[in-house]
Amino acid sequence: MSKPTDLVQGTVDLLILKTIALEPMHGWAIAQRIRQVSKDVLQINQGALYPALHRLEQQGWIEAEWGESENSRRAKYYSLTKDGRKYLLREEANWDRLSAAIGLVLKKA
Amino acid sequence: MRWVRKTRLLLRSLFRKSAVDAELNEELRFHVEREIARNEASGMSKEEARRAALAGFGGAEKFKEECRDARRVNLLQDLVQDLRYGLRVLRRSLGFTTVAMLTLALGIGANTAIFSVVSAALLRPLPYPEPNRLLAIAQTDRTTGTTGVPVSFTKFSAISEQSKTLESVATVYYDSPSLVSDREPEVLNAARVSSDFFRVLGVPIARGRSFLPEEEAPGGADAAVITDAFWYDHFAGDPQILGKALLLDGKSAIVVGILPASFRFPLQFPEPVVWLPRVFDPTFLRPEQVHSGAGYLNMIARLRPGETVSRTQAELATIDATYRELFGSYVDATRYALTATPLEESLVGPLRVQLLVLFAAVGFVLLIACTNVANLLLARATSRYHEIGIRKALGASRARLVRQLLSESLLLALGGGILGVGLAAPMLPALRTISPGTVPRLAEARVDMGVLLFSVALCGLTGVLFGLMPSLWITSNELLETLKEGSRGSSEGGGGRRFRSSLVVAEIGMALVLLTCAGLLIDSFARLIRVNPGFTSRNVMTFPMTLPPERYQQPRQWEAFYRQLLEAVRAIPQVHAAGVTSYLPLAAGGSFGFFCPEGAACRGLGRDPVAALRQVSPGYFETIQVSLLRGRFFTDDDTTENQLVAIVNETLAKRYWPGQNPIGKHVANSRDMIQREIVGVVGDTKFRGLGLASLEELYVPMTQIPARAMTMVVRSNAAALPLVAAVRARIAEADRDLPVAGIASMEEVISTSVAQPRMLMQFVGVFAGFALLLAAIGIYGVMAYTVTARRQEMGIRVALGAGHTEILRLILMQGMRMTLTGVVLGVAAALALTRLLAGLLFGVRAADPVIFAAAAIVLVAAAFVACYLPARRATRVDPIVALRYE
Repeated sequence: MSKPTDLVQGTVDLLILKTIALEPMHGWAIAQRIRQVSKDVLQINQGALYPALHRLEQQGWIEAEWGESENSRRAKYYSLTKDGRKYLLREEANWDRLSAAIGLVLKKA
Repeated sequence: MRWVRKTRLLLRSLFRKSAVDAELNEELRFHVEREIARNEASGMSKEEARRAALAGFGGAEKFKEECRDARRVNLLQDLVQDLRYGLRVLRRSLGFTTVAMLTLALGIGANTAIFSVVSAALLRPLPYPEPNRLLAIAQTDRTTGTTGVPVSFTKFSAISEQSKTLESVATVYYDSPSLVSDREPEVLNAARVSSDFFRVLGVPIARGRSFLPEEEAPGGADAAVITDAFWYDHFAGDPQILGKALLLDGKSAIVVGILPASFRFPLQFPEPVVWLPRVFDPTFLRPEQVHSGAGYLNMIARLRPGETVSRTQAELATIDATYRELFGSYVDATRYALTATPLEESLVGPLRVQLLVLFAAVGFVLLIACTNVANLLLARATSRYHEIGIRKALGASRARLVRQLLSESLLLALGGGILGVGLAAPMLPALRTISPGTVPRLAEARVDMGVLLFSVALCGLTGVLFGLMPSLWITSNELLETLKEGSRGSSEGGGGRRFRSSLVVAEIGMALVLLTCAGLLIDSFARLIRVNPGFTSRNVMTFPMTLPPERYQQPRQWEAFYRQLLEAVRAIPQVHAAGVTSYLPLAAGGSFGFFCPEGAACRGLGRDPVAALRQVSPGYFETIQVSLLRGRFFTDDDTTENQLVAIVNETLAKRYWPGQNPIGKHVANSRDMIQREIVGVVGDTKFRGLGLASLEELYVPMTQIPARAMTMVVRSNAAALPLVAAVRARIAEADRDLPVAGIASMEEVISTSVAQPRMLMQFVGVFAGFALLLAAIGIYGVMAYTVTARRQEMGIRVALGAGHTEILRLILMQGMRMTLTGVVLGVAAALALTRLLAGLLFGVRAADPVIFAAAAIVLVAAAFVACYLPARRATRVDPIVALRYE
């Protein structure tokens, strides 16, 4: 089945966590924000987004709350938990190290 | 706090499933709405916007399922659902379920039974506190290498005084006194023990007390400690028994203590029920023998905390050296070396290999059973292609499908396990009656918590073993491909067939290993019982007796008693011959002595040659028909008034007087050096075991050297029962209070002597039978399936003119190819594995080509039949019907 690979999965998780680090957001908005910020390069489809959200919630990195959306509908808002914030910092550092390392290899080798 | 949050979420997902699902739906609906709104805003028509938004969602059901997976709701809930579904599926295909469960029950049941035996003998610690500190101390014969030689009282005292690594030491010898009560006189299993015996074991006396110092001193009053079982059997648990007397061997012994009900003594079979003090004045030895190093004591010891066996061993060597200096003239001064072994090990000893062989054999049976069930599952899988395919299309992940199929397998294994344990429980008492005394602590073998845990683990393991491969395969993409083509009616994909064939090949290989082992053991056993024991056992009954020392103090009385009894017995009309012997061949026990053969330079006790000593009456050799090679047998004239005589066996004669006539030569006991003239040479009899070399035997007439304990042998043409009744009547006439226990035919005596190899042969044989049956069923299953799957092909072949023979050959070739591959692999495995049996075999090599060939032929024949039945069905395929299936 089209399970995302670890890299992709990890990346999606990281993008979601970073995106909601600023303010609580619902799923659709998270996808939109990632698309906008990446200038349409990164498009996360729903099939990857929602399982990831539910998994992150089950893992305790994010929490969900029903709130009112900008068009006055009930929507599920996700925000980082305290643990999630620490986890994000750790993962960001990891990512920086990894991408720096890949960059090095690509330039030098 | 993360785990609190996680648990709360998990519980909510589990128990408020509908609410969580509703939320998930609402969340997704919201997403779609926003998407539509966005699309409209970017200028699409309402219809276009909607379609684009939904397209992005793809299979909504599928990722809803993924969301649920992410919440791990499914794990538990699915398990319950899977089990329920599995139960339904299994109930629906009752035939399959029955066959699979019975197969597994056979495997798990046999494993449970054997494991409970192995666990009692090898794994369960001895029933004493800190059992790893307990040792057995015995001697090894430096010349012959014989181990387990008993220790003398003097040597025991030396160890007890000098050892620093041992906390306490004790000795025991076994006795069978007669008990006279208001019931029939009976023979008890008793033991004489030294003072620290119960302390070494760490067993307290439950009621009453242990022996007092004065009871342990020479000439002390006889006191008895009895087991709880004996207390209940003989005195109905009467608490007033303490202080009452037992009449043992005509002497009263006061019951002073009762052992706890949990007390076991697996070192002796049958276990002693009465324990008596004083080990230094046995009735079967003369005082001068006891005080010159005669070995008759079994010694146990408890290590000081922190000491090791190897340090004790080193210490024993020093004690031995000192002993040699102090008691140089004693019989055990030079010839024997003390050895210490952990008590546990001394108990199991060489039997460990046999038990492991049994365990391995039964393990193979289970593996074959698993392979068979895996094959059945695979065959059934074909009919479930569609079900699986649809589930996949609906979004079930592979892991989810495997879980579902595995839970079915686990259900099967569990059912098989319950049945199997049910089978094992009644098998154990049967095992105890069939082969008592063959395995130490067999009486303790039962299906207890540990054994149940083992069986449960076995169920889980087997469930996964036979379930995992098929379910992985069924859910693989390869199968889905097959499904797509499969609708056209072609057979199962090549991968599946190969997989199933390799299972059958493995199964045949394992069956061959077991058949070979069984073949070797059967052949070995057959050779063993065909060994000529040197006497004839047909129509001979044996009656062991021991005259109680209180009433029969004088050797003259013993001689007179047996002489008169023999006269009375010979007067019974059907009796052809009768005699008595101090030791019966192939029964336990024996006595050895140092002797001086004429012509050899004799150096006295402890240094002279050793021979097995037997006291026999006139008529003994004639009764069991030992062949007379030279000279004569004993006669009634060989009394003390006449010449002192002896008869030697062939082995002894050849060893000491090679090429000479031994008749007229003299031998003397090294102790008294009284010369006896050799009057006869008899053929060798097997004494210690059919498979062992003959000993040097020296016979003296009972009429010159009487013995108290004798076994009477009676040859007659009467049926056993009336004869036994008649002989018993004569014994009762001679002495009303003399118990006779252990009456057996000579054939039974021989049979008991080979009980252990027979038990091993029977079990491995039965397991090999199971293996053969299961392997045949396995190959039959695969072939029957192939024939059905290749129906159309056969139809086409027949339509194109293939005859019955060709079709038959085609199918048979396929089956035989699998069989032969399995046989080749099996032979290779058997060559490696049967070497482990080598030590248990008699007269046959572990790699005996005849046995290997026979095992292969039996297996191939069974496989041929199993292939032939489906092949014949293939020849009956009607081409029209077969092709119409298209």
